[in-house]
Amino acid sequence: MSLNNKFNLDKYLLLAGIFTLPLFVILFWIIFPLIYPGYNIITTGVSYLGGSQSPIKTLVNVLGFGLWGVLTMIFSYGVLRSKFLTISGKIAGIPLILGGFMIYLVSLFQGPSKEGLYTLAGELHIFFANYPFIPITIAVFLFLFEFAINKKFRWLILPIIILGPISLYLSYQRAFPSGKIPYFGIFQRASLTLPFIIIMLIAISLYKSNKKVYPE
Amino acid sequence: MRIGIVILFIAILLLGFTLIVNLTNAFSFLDKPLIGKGLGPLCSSLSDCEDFCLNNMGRCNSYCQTNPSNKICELLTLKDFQN
Repeated sequence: MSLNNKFNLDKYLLLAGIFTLPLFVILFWIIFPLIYPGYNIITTGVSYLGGSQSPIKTLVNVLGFGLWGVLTMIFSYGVLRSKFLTISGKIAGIPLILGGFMIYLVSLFQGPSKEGLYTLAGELHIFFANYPFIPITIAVFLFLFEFAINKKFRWLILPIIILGPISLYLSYQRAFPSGKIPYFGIFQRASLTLPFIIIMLIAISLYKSNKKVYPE
Repeated sequence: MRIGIVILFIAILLLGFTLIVNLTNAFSFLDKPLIGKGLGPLCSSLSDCEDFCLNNMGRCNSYCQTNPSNKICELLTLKDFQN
């Protein structure tokens, strides 16, 4: 058997989707706040970790925002290629790629600028940090249609119905705040974590289906 | 296999680009202030911000949470305490 026949690309693309959530949780909830001297996880947002004044900005932007966005895009391509999804499920890969690309762009345009001045970099950062939830929400809606007709993945409707509205509410509040958000650091992390729990569950289901059909 | 190598190459290229941009501050030209010192796009000076935040406290608080180093935020907070 040739190397081409043995190599199962879809497996690796879907694995990328499984790793997005642990990557975010381990780095942004635990490691980065621990190694940033004086950083307060409860009140301070994730942007500040990769901001221009951060002593760990390169690490955060490359291994944090950059890798997170790249893994999301890789998984999205896996969704587009998936043999287990119908058209609505596959199309979900397109807004998901856009969401991943926006997260990646956060790594290029650093967060809170020097002295908090209003800069173009700061504006771009805020845009790319606040709005990936829009394409990701569109993707999740498309997945909902898919799972409604695709019996194999129907169980995923339940976690989407439970986590989806909470996640959407938190993301909306973050992007369009109506007042002061208490415990902003925790609030923001929660709003970023929930949609990626859904993405990880979808990735795990697709990965398992792939493994059943193409065992090693 | 070939597609996998292309994807890996693109991923390394993207992360490498981020590394270079961060190490060299290649986008520092975007760090020039667009308008004077104030609360970003909301207002451009202390007096302007005082007026604006009087009726838009939510938006000012939100901006200050994401830009905690902004000096105007500190001044506005002090003013709040004094009142």
